[in-house]
Amino acid sequence: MSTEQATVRGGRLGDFFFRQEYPFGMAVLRIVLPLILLLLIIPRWSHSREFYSSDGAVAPLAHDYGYMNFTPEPTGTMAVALMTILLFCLITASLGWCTRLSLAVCTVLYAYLNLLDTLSSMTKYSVIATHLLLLLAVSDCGSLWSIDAWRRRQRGIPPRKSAVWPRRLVQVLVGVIYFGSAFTKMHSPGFFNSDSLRTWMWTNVNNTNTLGEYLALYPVALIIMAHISSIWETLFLFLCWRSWSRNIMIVMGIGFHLATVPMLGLIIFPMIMIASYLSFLEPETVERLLPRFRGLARRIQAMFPGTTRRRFSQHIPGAALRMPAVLLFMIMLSLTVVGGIEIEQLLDPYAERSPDGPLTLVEMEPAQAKRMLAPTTRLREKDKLLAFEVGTNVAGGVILANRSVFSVGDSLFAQCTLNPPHEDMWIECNLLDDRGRTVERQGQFVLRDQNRTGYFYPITQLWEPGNYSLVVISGGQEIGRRSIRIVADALRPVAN
Amino acid sequence: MFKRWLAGAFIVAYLAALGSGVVSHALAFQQNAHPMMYFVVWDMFCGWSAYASRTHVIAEGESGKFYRLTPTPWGEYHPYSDLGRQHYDSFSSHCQRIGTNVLRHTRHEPISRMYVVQEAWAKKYNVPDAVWDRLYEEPKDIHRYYHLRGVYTPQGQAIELNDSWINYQHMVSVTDTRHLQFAMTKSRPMYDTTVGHRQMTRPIVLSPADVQSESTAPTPVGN
Repeated sequence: MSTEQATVRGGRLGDFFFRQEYPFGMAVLRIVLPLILLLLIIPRWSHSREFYSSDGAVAPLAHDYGYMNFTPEPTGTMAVALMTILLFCLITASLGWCTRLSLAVCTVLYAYLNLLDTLSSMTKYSVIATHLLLLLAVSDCGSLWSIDAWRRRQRGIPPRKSAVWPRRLVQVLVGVIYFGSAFTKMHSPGFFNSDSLRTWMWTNVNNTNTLGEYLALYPVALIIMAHISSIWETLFLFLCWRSWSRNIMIVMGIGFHLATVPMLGLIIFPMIMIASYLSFLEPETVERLLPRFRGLARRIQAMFPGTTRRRFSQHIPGAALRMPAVLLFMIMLSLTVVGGIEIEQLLDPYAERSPDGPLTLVEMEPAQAKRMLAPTTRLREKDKLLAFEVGTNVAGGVILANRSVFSVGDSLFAQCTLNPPHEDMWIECNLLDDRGRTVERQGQFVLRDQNRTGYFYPITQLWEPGNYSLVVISGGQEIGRRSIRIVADALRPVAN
Repeated sequence: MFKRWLAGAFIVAYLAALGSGVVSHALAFQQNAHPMMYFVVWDMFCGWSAYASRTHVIAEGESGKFYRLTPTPWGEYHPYSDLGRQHYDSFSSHCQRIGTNVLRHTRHEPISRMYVVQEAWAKKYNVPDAVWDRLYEEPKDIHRYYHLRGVYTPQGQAIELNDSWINYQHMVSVTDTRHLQFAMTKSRPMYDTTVGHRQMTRPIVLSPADVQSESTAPTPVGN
């Protein structure tokens, strides 16, 4: 097979969108994306009634926008049926059986069911997956490496080329996602000064992110990463078209998304984004790599003598092979839906048909209930402080590295980072000696829109070497403390 | 040829949708106007908070006993980490439905009220102990704040709704100023309901200092 560089009507724009090629990248994306989505759908299937039906607790996204009747709520059985259809069609889409029909059904159902549950289903990766499913549905991704393609080969129909525009739209989609995301970062106060990233790395709403928790000890590293990621996102849409710049952008993107796994606890989002990079797989690259894969396939096949392609078709009843694909698809789908509904009934998700009848409620301790329903209390002073750091160098507005030992001649910089929201505050940073006596006192106003304040202490010969403490006071209470040691400068005489 | 025109139309429509999302988001114009904007506005990680938040749904029976409605009695599904789905209800707009669903499918005494309570604490207490020891010299002293978000009937009808805990703290911090408190009490919100029945000669206000202009044109209100 070879890709022709055909001249298409419409000049360069026409060639950009309508050049004919074998849809290698889209075919691989068609195989991979549904498998990723199955990781989400399979665990949620048994909760279909609870999450997506009027017999459960739907949480429509439209309600958050003020649209109360935007998404119709199916009954419990209908919700189970729809989820079963979605599950079936994801499998058939990945296999490439009745590909366009499978993908169209997946697009509609995945979007609809996610719209019904904004708490545990709908996220931005659901949106991206919906876009990808839509573009796969309008592409000819089923013409390669699929059951449809195999059936056509059985009838003597060779693989066909198709216009490149669905792949182009996926590429544009990826670039626009990053471009829009860059705007989000520009609009987010606290993103470029590490506050936002730090608190996100200390959030436990995603999966475990041990690396992120440790990385938040180094705000300067977060500031550098914030700037690099923002620049990369802005440039991606413009540099993802030429081979050398595209490769750089893709490699950076893979690294960026893989890093979000240990740093932010994301798993599905990076999988979907990295899968979308398959749209940048050029046909020429695949044709260069295919002979190597064929060689590998032949070597694997040689390990299992007697296994040939003909054996696969021998396992399929002849009647099934002769039946129109869509009819067989509908029969299999119907059987799966009926089976799914029956299985869900047997599972009894609400445990209402248990031997003891419906479940009973768990009683609360009265003291706990009283504590929860008591009037809201004000923030403690110590909870307003996020971090108190001490060092000698500042970069990007944050302490470059925490230090606890200082020499005469050093410039000590102490910085308080506060948690928003807070009122206008007066914060003291006092230097105490080892006997608790105040050596020096500094105070500053910290307005409600400020989250950082700094105190400057030049270490002079007036201070005797020894142990000291820097203490942060707010509202008359100590909210932070750092122990430091001042040592004599070995190169300079301490006394006269 | 028809297929090519159809493809062209799809391309134009799709690019227009993506472009409108980018422009809307960049200019912060109509980006929340419709649920479908969620599909074209790319605002991942658009906000942050220094405080962690959890949501609890509890019920009060007529006997005065309190019951936990979350985690759900039949087992809790954890969509993204080890948290139930009610903890992802940032705007507290769906938790009452979780509560009514539990009441509908369980055996219990008559319920008089349902409460949605928000629990919050400073995120700095989430760090591992090894990280904490490097950042702070004092021991961890987690304080959990509770805030009543909503009171509902057993059928899910709202009786009382309150803003989020973070907005409450923000309001407290902003209004913790004597002159602001005086200005707030001096100028209370008002709404004139008699405008439709007579010609308005001058606005009805509580404070003479608020009189700015007079209107003589009738302004029909309501049906």
